[in-house]
Amino acid sequence: MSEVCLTHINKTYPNGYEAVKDFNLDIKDEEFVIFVGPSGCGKSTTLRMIAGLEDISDGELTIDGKRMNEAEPKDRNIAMVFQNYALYPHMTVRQNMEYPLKIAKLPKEEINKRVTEASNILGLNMLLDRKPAALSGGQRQRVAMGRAIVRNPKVLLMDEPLSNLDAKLRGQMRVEITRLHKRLKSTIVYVTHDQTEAMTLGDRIVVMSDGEIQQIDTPENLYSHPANKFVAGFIGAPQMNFMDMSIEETENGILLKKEGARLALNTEQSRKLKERGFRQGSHITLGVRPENLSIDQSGSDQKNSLEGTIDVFEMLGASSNIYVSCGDQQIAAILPAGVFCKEGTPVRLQFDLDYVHLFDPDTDRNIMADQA
Amino acid sequence: MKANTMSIKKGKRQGKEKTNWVLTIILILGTVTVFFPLYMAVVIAFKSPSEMTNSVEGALGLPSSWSFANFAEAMKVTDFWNSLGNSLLITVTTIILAILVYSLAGYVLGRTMSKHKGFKWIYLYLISGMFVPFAILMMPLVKETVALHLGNQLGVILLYIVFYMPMNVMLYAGYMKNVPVVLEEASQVDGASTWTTFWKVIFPMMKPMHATVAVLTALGTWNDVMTPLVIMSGTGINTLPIAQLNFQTQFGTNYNLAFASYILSLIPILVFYIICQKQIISGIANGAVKG
Repeated sequence: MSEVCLTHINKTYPNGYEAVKDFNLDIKDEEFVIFVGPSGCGKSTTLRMIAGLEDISDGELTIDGKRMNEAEPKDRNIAMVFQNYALYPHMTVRQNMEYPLKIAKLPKEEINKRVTEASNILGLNMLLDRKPAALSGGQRQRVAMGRAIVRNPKVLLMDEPLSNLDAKLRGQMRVEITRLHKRLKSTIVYVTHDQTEAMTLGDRIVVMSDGEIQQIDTPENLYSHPANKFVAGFIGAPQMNFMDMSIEETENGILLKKEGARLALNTEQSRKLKERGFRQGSHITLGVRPENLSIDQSGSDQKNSLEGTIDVFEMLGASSNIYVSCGDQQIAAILPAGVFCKEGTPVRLQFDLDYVHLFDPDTDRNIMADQA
Repeated sequence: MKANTMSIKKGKRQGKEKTNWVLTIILILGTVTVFFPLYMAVVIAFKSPSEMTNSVEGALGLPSSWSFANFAEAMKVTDFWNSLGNSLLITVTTIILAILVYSLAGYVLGRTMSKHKGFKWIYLYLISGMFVPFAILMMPLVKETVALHLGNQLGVILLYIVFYMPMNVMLYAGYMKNVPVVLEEASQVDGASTWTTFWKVIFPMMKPMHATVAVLTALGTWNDVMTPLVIMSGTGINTLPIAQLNFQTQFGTNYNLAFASYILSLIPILVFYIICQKQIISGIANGAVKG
């Protein structure tokens, strides 16, 4: 059992800067939770408060039901993998991994057993007598993880552990971390600003901005039902397109209008908007993901489409991105493989209206995700 | 292939470079300034007193025969082994204590003075000691050490620890900027106390600075005459530099014996420097730049 509960956690620095504001989260046993957000959003600060490396200004942190606010890092039974690995440069790989076990005064046989186990899991057997300076980035990363897992900690904290690796190695390590979590069945709290890592690794994701939690949900829900405009824009690449639209009420439901575009919302969407008090003439922010736009070649359905000119065409192999100028706005769309476009040509983008998101322009809340 | 071509081009370009004669002459003069006294010391140490005439040949010429008689005589006059033992005792103990005390102080000050004003003031107070000349302190110190029954090797060692503190604490505190804080945090999370973190993580990482401090302290203590002279006078305990004062009398100086003795006392410190030199260069550079 390793549950971590953060209740009304705040972090205020002596200069008055509020890094974390009213953070509430219950992390279940064996859960893999990701803190994600842009730089300076407070995700690393929260992780460091769990580790005991930062004081908690207000609120309560419990691990397995025990209050840990005042406990020293050494008394929390946690392990941490740092962004820059933090390997002790004067020690060999073996000595680095033995270090926490020697401090815990475990018998020599037990230390050897655990180091061997961890090095088998992480493929470090051939590197045990090397010093960190003689290792590659990926190897160092594995040693840092080895040093963390030998202790069998209650909670494993990871602070952007893959950010210093190249794209290929990052992909490999993501798979290894997933395997490691399944094998160790430990509670993991992982900080990243990389949404791919967040989406692929986590059981639940905590999206943060300006020290506040924006949404806590599963990767699927975050993507399909973002709580607000920030989450919608942060998750997904290229990011979601946002358009300011005005509402026109018709007999068949609601039409969203913009220069060069008329979008007919479905019954459910129209009902939600009406329930929220959006009437003829009010404005709304429409969000549509690039993959929910396609090129309308027939030109038959001009109602649910938008006209523009292709600015940039990016060939990615499995798909292509196009960036289309529509008046003063640029709209991104993802096209399937084999579709080629010429920059500068006019194009009509078709909306898949079942997947659009509607945001209240005053609060930025997602009207479709909110409970009526 | 490309790299080879580049290195050849670079080599050609370097070959065409003109010699900087001004710099070359300055360096030659510098080298002569260092090696000439050393040459004289060696030559005079091996000469017999009768060869020391007032002519240029008498002062600078090579000895007619290379004899170790001066060395043997110098060892007898200075009670060499006894004086060497005292010098070694004082120097080695001072170095060990210096490394332990200064590294601890440097660690604490290096880590905290940017966060807490109080530690910054303590640091500045310690550093200000560099500007106090020994001559001002000499008489009160003699009286105090006598009163405290420290007119012996222990007294000299304690005074050295105090005298070399400003410079060396500054070096250690500056070097701490090279030791990432995240290593201390990793050690804390690994279960170590601050004390364990210092000894197991920080102290080994200060190795280049230990070598620097060791050599600077060793040079200072090994060659120092004044402190042991005023503190241990009348006790009969001699260090090598004090014993070497025997070669100077009111009637003259026996240069042959003196230089033979200087060379003998030079050997241990030279060997020590050679052992530490690899570390010291990076140590001084780090401390100087980052401090």
